[in-house]
Amino acid sequence: MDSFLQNLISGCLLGCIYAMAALGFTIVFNASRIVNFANGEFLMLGGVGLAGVVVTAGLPLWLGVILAIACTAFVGVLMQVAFLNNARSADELSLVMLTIGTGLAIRGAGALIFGRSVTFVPDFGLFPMLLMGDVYIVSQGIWIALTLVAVGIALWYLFSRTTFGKAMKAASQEPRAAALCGIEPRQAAAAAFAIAAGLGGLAGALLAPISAAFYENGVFLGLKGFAAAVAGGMGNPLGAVVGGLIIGVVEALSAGYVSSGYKDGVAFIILLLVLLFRPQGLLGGVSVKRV
Amino acid sequence: MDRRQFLGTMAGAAALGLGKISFAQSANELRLGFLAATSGPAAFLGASERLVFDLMVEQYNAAGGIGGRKVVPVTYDTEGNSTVAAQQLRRLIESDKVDVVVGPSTTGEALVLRTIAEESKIPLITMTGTESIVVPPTPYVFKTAPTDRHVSLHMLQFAKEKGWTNIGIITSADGFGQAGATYLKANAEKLGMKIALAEEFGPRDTDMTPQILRLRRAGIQALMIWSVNPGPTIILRNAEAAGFKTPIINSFGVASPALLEQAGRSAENTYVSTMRLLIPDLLPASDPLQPVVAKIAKEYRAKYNQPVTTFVGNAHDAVKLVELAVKKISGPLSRDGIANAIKSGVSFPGCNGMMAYSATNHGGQDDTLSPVVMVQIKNGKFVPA
Repeated sequence: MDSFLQNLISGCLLGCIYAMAALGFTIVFNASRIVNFANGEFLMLGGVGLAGVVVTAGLPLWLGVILAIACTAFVGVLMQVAFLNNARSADELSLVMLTIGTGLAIRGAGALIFGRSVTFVPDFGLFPMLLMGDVYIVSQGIWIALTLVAVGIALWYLFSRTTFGKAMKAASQEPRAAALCGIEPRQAAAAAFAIAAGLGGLAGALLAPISAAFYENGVFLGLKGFAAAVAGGMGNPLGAVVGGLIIGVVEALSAGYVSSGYKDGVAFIILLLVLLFRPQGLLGGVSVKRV
Repeated sequence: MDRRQFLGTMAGAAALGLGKISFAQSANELRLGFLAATSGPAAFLGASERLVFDLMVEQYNAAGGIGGRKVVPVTYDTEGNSTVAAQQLRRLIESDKVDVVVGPSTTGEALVLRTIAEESKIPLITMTGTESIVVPPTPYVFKTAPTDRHVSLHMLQFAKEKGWTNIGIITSADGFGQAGATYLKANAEKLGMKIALAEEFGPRDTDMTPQILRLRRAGIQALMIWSVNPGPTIILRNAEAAGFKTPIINSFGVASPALLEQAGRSAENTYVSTMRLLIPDLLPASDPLQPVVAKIAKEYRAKYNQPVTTFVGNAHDAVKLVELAVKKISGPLSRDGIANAIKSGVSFPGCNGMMAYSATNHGGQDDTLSPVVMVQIKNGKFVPA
């Protein structure tokens, strides 16, 4: 029983990271209707950026986290403003291809700037390790869980209570009508990229103390985040969180009780099943277009 | 100048050029090729191998060459890319006219270069640790690094001496980890030990707590980890958090001071099976390889002012093998001559073991002395176990 609970906790923490990656996909998708396959690289950048600032340059941790988030958000905006906005063909498929290319470029730049070594960053600290009988939550895990809760509330508030958030949603649903109301779709998309990338940077920074920062991390984090976003329902922030947690927990349980070799397979089988039987995602509504 | 004249002139120039090359190859020199990845993802291997190569060549030439023959090094950076390495090997053979090639440092490259070396009949001394490169032996290919078989056997024998016969293993799901798992299982059976549970993890996984919990439930007496970082560091941290008290033995995949930095106190009291160069100053005087290891470590640190790595031994032993083989040859050097000299028997204490090359042993290490030693991490330092 103890190890079941421990596996569950382990999976939830992993799921929180996947959820933050999935939220990045969702936010960009909501604002511009494209799937940003460079999203995983934002998590990678957050991690190696933090490692570069804290371990290599020796600056304080809090400053490192802020710098990692700010730089990643800047890269996100740059990507939208410099590449996606200027694409010759604005059709969605070519924009998605462009995000894959940008992702590769970010990975290469990360390796060049921050090096190819595997770096562990010190724990954020502050919280002690929680111990209940034989079940424990590591200090960094508490940071991750609390951050996801805070991020979730902030995003919910942004998108359902503020004019700015509503304008972003409007710009993606009906770009033309939104433009007529004075909302610039390109600005909305740039804002979405800033938020998604900043969030990715934060998630990557949170992960760096427990699983090391490495320039190749972006690929698998991006894939897991994408799977979580699709499983939960593309475009639904709550779905992204639920999808991330489900994938994390299933991975941990299959590693703990079936075989650790199959855990990635199990996670993607869930994705397949969801796509087969509920293509709109677990929490996704069927989109209705009024004419 | 019409076309015929032009062609004639070119042919003359080409003949002159060829003449120059053949004159340049004096009888009294050894042209020594060197291939290693000094940049790119495998640079952690190649960089220090290149440094020790340069150091040794400089020493030979300062002492009047090898057996009176001046050493002329020709080196290339393969970037860890086997296509690039193949082109460079062809260049070494055809335009640089080297007598023997040391390198490469990765298995992927070595598998490609082996075929070319056999076709072109040039001795190739690889710095890799993959047994399939030299088993079964082919006429021109040799290696210097210890193999997975040596290290897995060493880890298991160490555990057996401690009385730990019920073993759990955790390996990465990549080429390195899978080879380790295969050898650990096969050798455990030979030694009459039991692998109670074999766990795997993805090379980019972030949390191995589920595997640690399964291993804890399996009631094993020792855990063996076979992977390169970051996996082992994450496992050590997870194990510490989960209160996993079973002794842990890591493979040579993490045998570098980086482990101490990254895993910190969660590595305390765990073991690592490593090449002797990890602890050049702490080897007992009774160790037959101690003089060799201590000497090269001292010279390397004096010249480059940086800590020595375990990979230094791979290049050191390869160059040493060339030296001893060339010294056996009295007449003019030839590629076949060097390969035959090695196969007729060259033995020396190297950094990677008691080397005993012969017609049947192209791997180097003899079976009397383990090429690796066990160290334990005590107070954040590697000490002999």
